[in-house]
Amino acid sequence: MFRFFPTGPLARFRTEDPEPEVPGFRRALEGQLRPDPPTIGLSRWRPAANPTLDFDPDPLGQSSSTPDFQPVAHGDRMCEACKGGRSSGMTGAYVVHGRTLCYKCAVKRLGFENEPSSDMLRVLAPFELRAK
Amino acid sequence: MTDVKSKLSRLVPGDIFHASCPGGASLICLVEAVTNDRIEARRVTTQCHETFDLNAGLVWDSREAKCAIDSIAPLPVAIHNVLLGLDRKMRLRFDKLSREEKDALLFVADFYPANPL
Repeated sequence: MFRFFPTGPLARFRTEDPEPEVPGFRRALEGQLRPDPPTIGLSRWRPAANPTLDFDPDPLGQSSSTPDFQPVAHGDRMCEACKGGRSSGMTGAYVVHGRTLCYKCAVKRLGFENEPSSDMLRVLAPFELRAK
Repeated sequence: MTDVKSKLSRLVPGDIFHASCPGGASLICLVEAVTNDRIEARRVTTQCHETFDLNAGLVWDSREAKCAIDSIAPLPVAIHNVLLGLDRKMRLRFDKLSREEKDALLFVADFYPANPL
């Protein structure tokens, strides 16, 4: 009716004091939550002066009003023919009649729909955008 | 280097040559003018203007990817004429490519790599 287990060494848990927090990690007063830093424009984000922090967020004093990056790329060129039609948008890789088009639109525009796929890229290569 | 220049200096306006870019773009170019140090050309397919250094055959603008002239082999007359027609079509009319133009582009895709500078 009753099942008895043999007594022996039992699994134990460490009950030591928790290790002190490592400086640099998020920390706030009890009951307070610091908002997460914004994910957009992260390189411009600087932590606001917060008296509750017990560490220097900028120990080297590198924070300044000038951004620490130089914008060099504007992003992909979008297809001018389907940017409003498809939800995701397609990257423009070809120039046909002065318009930047994605692969599918370039194939349609040039009338290659019925060509074998092995020939497609070879025929489209002269219409490719030049890398900048 | 001088060898390249001597070859490229034979080009005259109306000639068609080929250049390739590191990204894989194929530039079928029609010569517009040749000066002492430059070749002014336009791409037959996209009508973009390109300037090449006559000494090295590289594209003139150093900010862009280094496209280089890789062949100036003369195309067969029929293909040359089709490409001239394609140049005019791309500039003036917005039609789909004809069978001859597709075949010419396929021919060029094999012809220029087989006849390097």
